[in-house]
Amino acid sequence: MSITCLMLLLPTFGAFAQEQITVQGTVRDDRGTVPGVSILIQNTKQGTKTDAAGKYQLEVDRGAKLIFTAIGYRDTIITATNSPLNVTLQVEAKALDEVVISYGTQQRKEVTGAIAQIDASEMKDVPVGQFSQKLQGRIPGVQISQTTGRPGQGMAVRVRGSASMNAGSTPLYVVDGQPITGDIANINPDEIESFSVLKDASATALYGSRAANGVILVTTKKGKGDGVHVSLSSYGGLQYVPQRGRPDVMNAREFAQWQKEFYEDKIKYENWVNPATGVAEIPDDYKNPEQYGEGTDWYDVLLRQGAPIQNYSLSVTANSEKFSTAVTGGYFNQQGVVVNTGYQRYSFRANNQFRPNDKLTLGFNIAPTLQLDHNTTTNTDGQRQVIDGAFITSPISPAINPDGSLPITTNTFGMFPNPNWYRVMKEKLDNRKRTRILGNVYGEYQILEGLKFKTSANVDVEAFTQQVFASSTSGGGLFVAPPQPANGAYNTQTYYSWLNENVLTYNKTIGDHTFDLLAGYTTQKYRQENSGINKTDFPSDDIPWLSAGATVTNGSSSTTAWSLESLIGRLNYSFKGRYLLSAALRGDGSSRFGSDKKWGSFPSVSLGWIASEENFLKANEKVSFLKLRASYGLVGNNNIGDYRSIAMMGTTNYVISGSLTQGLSITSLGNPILSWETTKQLDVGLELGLLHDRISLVYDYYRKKTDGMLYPVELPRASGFSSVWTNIGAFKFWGHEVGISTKNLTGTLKWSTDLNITLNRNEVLQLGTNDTPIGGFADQGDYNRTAVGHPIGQFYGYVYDGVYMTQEEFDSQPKHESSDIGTVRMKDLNNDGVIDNNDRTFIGDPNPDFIFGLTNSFHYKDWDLSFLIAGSVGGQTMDATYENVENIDGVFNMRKEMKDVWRSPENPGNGEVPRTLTGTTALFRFTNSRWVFSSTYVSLRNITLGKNFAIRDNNYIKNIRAYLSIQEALMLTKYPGMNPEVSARGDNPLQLGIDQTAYPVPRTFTVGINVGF
Amino acid sequence: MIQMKMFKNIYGMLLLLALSSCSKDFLNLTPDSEPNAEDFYQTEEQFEQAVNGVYQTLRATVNESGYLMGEMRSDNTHYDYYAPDRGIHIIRRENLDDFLDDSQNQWTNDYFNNCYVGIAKANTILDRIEAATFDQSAKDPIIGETKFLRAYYYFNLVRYFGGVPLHMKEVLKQEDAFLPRSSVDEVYELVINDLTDAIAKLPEPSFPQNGRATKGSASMMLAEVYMTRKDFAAAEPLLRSITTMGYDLLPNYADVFSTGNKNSRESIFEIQFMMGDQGQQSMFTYWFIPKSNDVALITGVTSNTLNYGGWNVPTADMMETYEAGDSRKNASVGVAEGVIGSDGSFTIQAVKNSDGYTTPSGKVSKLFVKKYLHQHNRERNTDDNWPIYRYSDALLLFAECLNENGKAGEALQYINQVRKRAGVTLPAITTTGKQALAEAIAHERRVELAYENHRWHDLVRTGKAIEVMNAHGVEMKQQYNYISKNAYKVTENRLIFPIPYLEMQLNNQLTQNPGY
Repeated sequence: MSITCLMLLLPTFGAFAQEQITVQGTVRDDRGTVPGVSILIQNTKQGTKTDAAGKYQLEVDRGAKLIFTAIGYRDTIITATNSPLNVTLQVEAKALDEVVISYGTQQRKEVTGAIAQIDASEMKDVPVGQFSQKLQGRIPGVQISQTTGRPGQGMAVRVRGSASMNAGSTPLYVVDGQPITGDIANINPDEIESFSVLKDASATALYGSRAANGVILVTTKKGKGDGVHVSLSSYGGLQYVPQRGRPDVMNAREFAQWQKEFYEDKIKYENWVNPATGVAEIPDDYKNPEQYGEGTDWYDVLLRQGAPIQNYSLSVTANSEKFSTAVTGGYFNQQGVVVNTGYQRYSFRANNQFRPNDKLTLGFNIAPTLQLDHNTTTNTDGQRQVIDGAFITSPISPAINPDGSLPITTNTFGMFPNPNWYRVMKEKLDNRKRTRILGNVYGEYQILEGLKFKTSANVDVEAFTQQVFASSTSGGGLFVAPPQPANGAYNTQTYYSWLNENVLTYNKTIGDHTFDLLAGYTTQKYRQENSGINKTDFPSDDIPWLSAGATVTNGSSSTTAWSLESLIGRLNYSFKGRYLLSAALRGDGSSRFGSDKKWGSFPSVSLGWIASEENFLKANEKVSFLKLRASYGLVGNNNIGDYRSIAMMGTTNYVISGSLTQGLSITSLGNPILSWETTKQLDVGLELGLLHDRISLVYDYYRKKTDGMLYPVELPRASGFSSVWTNIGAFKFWGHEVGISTKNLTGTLKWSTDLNITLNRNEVLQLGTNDTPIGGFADQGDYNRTAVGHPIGQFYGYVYDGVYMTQEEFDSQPKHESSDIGTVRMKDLNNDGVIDNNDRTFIGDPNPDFIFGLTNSFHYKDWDLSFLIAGSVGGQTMDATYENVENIDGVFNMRKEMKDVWRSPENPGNGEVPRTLTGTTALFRFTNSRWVFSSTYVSLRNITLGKNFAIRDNNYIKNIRAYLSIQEALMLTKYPGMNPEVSARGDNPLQLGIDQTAYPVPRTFTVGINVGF
Repeated sequence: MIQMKMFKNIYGMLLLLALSSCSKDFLNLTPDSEPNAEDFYQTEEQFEQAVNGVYQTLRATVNESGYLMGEMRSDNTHYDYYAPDRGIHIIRRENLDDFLDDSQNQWTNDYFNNCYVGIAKANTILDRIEAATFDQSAKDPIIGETKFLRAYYYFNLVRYFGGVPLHMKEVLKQEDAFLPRSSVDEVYELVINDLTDAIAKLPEPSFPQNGRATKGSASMMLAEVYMTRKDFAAAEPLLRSITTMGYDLLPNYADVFSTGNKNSRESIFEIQFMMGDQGQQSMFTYWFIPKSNDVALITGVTSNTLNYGGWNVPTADMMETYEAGDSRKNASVGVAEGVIGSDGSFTIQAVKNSDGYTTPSGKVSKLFVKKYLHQHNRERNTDDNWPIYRYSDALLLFAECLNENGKAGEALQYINQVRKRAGVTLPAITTTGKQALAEAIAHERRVELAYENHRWHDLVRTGKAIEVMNAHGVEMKQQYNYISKNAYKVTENRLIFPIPYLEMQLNNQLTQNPGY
């Protein structure tokens, strides 16, 4: 029966047969031949590809249409005629037509959410170790600040000014579809292909439960193109700490002179007697200031100028019809600009994909890394830690003795004993090793036309060990000088996190309607184990391992875990390619919440209209693209401790009958109704392309409200507890983002510009019980207050008002209980005649008015030049080091300005610095407006000059690129400290803008070479 | 095609299976390395562990806040002024001695907060023990100890701060945490009720004692409560009962505090510590010895006390009040003799007895409390307990009570018992005039219980605080030139401390004590 059918068909087939011809030719673009171009016979599945020389050959029916497609080019349709059929392809204006979104990709023009995509190649020559540093100043709405210069750390990323009281403000990082639980500094930037920043509710909807702070999708390089490609990129450079912004403290002679006057006043006003001699005389150290010269510049002594930085990455990609792979191996080494600190990273990544047939795709990616931190996570930063402690040390004391040996302690009369901080850094031992593996295995199967199923298993595993040893000559700290008993510690932490995702997608086009459906189920689990041992009583400093220690002072181990389970669904619909709708829903259950409140649901919807496809705009010469979009949705945050909903108990042992007796007590209150923190976000956006996309503009306006914030509401201590975790409080955020890209010149000299400006605003709507403000209660160390009706985290303290210069001023003006003539005066804000706690108020705001980034790129033949300028306008930073360097009790070195002390009504100093009378100086050291400075800055972040060397007629090397780059080339700011972006408590969005001294951010000069084989 | 369908079906079933089995337990995680309250407070052993937790909080009442508020506040002790360090933590300690403290003072604030931590632990036990299913006879001592401890915390709160919020139930949720201040009378009512019940439920002391509260401890505290409330009639029978419980004075005063005599026959209640690595150690002596780069000559252990020492230093007036032949002077106070270096630091060269000491020329001497100084191996890690009630305290209180009740004659034997132990050459007290005897007892209490955080309470409850402290202030200002002219303005308001500033901000139902 079937044979008969076949034979019947044959003649019919023959009747319809057309004339078959052989078509051949070469495909070119404006630069040369193009290999790997796909040529398809329209309405069939037959076709071919151009070879390495751009040539092709194909058997077709005469008159059939051939479609030429390749990435980066417009599709070209040509009717088959006799040979030769040469085709010239036009470069697509937007090289990347596809944007990476959550759980897939989408055509850029059809995206209805607020997404910014940036290609890693645009930033490839920026010589920094962390990829977030590369993104600084490039993406509208994303503020990336470097809060400390420690190698391998310090980047604070905030999308749309996100802040939560306790659930963190870092965005969620997703690497190749795997949400990362740890930090992201382990990723070699050379492995990355592109970044997508998802900013609004619609774009982030499918990560709903952790998306409140935005999502950054990182896509690593995959094999593409044709054949095998090898490339090597390397750079080396030197880092220097600029002079601008260094602490301007006194030198030895100035300091001795100050102390001499200090003791003269003590003798005059307080009947001071030198306890060493029993006579009223200046201490020996300060009797003759002229004998001293510059003395020790303690800040400079700690620095290692010209510290090297180097990076090597070798990457091999291969691509064929059934298999593609991309392998990258890298080594990064940054020696720190503070002595005896450094960071190294060994990284490897292999992304492999197998396509055995046209229905099945299997993938296997693995990325092991090893990070070695040498003294970069230790106590260099912060109040009275190494760097701060160093520049308040007496400049008269040497850091290095004339014979080259290092003194153990350094101080002169009347000052606190402290270590020789230079020796502390030289002898410090704090080594951390982190071995991490990110891996995923996935399979994608096409069940039917348009219906695909993908399942993946993702793993993130890290083992961390830390060896610490403080020798007897470098232990102790401020107030407690070495020698101290040596002590050591060894800590470990391992975690593993697995994630299983199962996603079903279906796309269908019916006439003008296109549907894209997604449904999925995912589960994730995380478990961590910690242990640590501390020991002391070492016989000597020779062996820094605990085997040498005699006494264990502390030892413990513990574990913690969390889990997450989710259902996701999304529908993307477009009508006629210009009316767009996207709706998504995600339901998440988290182990962290109360037993009745584990699940939350996060819906979102967005609409878009591509107005430029409408008839009234289609023919318009000027407007090449115009899209209007809006989105609204709900996202959540669960980033709190793992067991906060449960009342926890702690060990409270006692002694009965002379021996240890077990005790247990409740140490924290539980909350069975603790649940998700939610953010509702509205976004309205406009995308405009003018003059054939020579000018493109993206504008977004957003409004967010974060509600039910996870916060430990402070309780009256009379309850026996200090706080209980509750969903309370609300913050409001809103702002504008503008991104403009222009191609100013497109001839032989090409010049393009990218500008982005972001305005972020916030306001506190509601806090805990009675809306009690957070922070700003204590006189010292409590710099920020978050209160209802104000922006988050404003500075709080006294308002400085000069000095009581004369007796008459002192008698007639409001006073503090410690005041006297010549002491500091703070403003009496409530006019009650007394200066006290009630006269403290909001004295500054760390939130900037706007931030911007400007990139300019020039190309001229083989040369290219680019520079990135970034800045922040209108914010403020509090220089909290003033608490120490304006301490006029003679115990620390001080700012040079302190020399003009009020000494008497006839000698009142400069009217800014009060007198040194005992018992009156504490008020001058309470947080006050004198410490608040503008943090407005404009910095030339990076300038790079490069040249491409095209290599012809060489089978092994295809091209070489060499470049020179300066990172942190120039900083213009009024802020007197080193880094206006500094933030001592940078990871807490309620405590921004505080400078307590940080590891300096260096200026780096590098030379780099990239070779393509 | 058929294979495809089968594959789809199999996967579908697996998915359903996974979904149904995963869900429930997958999200219910409880901590593995820490205990939680859901599974606790059920058995006798668990309640005993919970009570131990209430004991543990006692330590916070005898840390620095304890001596600063109870002893240095009075005329017994002062501080060794250290000019170089004018840090806020130093100034706030000095403020407590100088009567310049305010509601931001961390020492008074910590004391307030820590008492309530203890109270919360006690309330949890008392609320949950009724539902527990073990024997009432086992429950009673637990309830007794808990009530004794709760009364201790509230008694100290009301003496130091006046009327305070009266939490009598466990706080389970946010709304329960906000209470207004109760009156002084209401707090005393709770204290008296708790102690009365404790006396009924606690066992008599049996020797050797183990450190737990006994009927004697509760009786002594209740007696002190009545004496503070001037209810002398109620105090007398309690104090009398203590004399029949088997307590006795140790023959030698110095031995009372030795770490070999913990919980001795003289001890009615003391707070337990233990040196070593288990976190149970004390460090009282390190606050009391002078600030120096190395105090090895005093302690036998190398240690730098610049951050810790120089506090609770006996005043000149205190040293003069010891009579000749009073062994308590040498047992309680030592002298560190040395020189001051060119950098202002004190180097210790010798340790001497305080009785009959004069400073040789060219040397500097510093007094220090040595009651809590005993052999130990590591710095800031000592074995000393802190005495709350001793039998000599009970005897002297009994004498005072009898005197107030017009039984001066009977009172004499008790005060003389204490004096005889202190020094065989000390003359016995024979006066029976109420006023004179009261003064003699007050003096005896001052030297017997010196540096044990009793002096301030004694001054306040006998109504002598304002008079004595103002006079003391005049002396101090004459002696030392660093004392502010605003210091020592002791009025009625200054007899109690302010409610902590943070507490006032968090709970708007509270009103602050007058004058703060």
